[in-house]
Amino acid sequence: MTSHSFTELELDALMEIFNVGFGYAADSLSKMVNDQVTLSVPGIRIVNQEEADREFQQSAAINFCGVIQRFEGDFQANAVLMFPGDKSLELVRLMVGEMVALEDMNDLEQEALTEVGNILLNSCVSAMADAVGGHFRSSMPEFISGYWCSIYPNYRAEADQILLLNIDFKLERREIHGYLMFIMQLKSIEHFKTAIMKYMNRFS
Amino acid sequence: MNLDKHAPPYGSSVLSVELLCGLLNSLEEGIILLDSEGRVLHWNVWMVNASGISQPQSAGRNLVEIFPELATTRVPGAVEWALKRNLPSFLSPSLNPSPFPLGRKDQFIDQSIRITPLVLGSGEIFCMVHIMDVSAMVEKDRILRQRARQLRELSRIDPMTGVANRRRFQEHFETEVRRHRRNDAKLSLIILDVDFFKLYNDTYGHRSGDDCLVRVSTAIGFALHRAGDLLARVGGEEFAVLLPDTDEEGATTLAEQIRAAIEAEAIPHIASTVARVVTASLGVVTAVVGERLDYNDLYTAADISLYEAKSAGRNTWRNVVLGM
Repeated sequence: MTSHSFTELELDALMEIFNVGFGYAADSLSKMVNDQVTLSVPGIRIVNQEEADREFQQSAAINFCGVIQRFEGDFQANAVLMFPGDKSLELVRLMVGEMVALEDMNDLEQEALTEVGNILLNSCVSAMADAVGGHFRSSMPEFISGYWCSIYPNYRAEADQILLLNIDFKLERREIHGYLMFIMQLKSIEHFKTAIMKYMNRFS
Repeated sequence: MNLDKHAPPYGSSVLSVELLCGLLNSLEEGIILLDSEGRVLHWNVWMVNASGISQPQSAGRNLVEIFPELATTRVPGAVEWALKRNLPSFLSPSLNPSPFPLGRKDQFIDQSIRITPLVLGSGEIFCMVHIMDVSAMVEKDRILRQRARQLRELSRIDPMTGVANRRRFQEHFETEVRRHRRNDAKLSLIILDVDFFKLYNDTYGHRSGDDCLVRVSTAIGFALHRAGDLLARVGGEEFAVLLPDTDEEGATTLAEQIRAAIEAEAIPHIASTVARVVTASLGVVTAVVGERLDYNDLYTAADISLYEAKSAGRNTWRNVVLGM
């Protein structure tokens, strides 16, 4: 199984779908923090485990913080929003507007990040459900933190692939880079691909 | 929990409505069950106590009808997400300050809220709103932050003169810019160098040099009258004053007052070629606070004015106005 199972055109279609989701999420987040939050996606690709390991283990010392939700339905995915190092703290603190930062991410900040992830992941999945049809149910969002090698094994599936998006949050003139990923089994990714093709055919 | 393991006689048949209601009522958390239209089917005793609204009063009404203040929160959207899209939502206390008006009127409880879809085997859909009182956690956080703030205040003071240090000054600048970026407020910055300070140190010794800086900073401090003005020691013999809501005229008037106040301290300085006493040169910049106002740009402009003041013979000020 190569990691390039999606064509450029299919990735474009996916990007279009995600952009709808991001638009919705950015809107909710902006309302919440009473300030303009924009979300953009500089990159989207499908990677396999080895490629993901290479990307995220480059620096073994990078600690990630993020949010995971398990989606089940027409296809299954572990959806993860995660940020390297202290970027998640920076994001939360910009959103909460707390000038006095404590050294570590505390419970309240973890909850705030969980909510941000929840809004973003739900928005993306809603946009996907609207575009490709189908129904999903989802677990509650869960806060995760640790090194890639300790996070990933809990959520990997057999022979899985990862739909990986680079994501940029912009607020208060700051830009925070993170990752959004959908860890899917091969079977699910094939279902997903078929659904995307159907979606594209609607316009052709 | 696997109930089947114990069946019979313990199984789902034992879970009567009465028992389930008893279970919900014994929880120290709020539980609201909504039907597919978002109307309250049931809320538990915790909700009755926290809201002062009885079960019959709440039944059959949607949440925004019961609590109009919810209309502007994420709650209605999250309920819709659960009922229409089968997606759960989590609302954190820091991003959603007390969405439900629960508890004391003067201080609503802090809430952590989970809004989840419940789908029965028949396909019938319900929504559960689960509210936890996290006031204790929020209070603990507030105390921790207050302590951190106190500690940080201490680490943001120049130990010798007792005025703010460069770090605090820069933070104050960022805060002021954030506060005013949506209006056309003007902001001014004065930077100030003690004239021939190296010669002062060489002549009188470092200890006297330190005393001189303390007196200079005190003199500047006396010239400032508004709570928002901030004086900082930003370098060896360099001071800076941030003046929010201050235009060109206000800033230059103050610069002259500061200059005169330092001269009037009459600290002897025989090595100075400008005067017999310690004097200072000042650079002043005024700008409109906007999205693009950058600390370094402002500082550089003030620095150029300071250089001009020195070139003009010192013991004077020069000013510049940015982008107006």
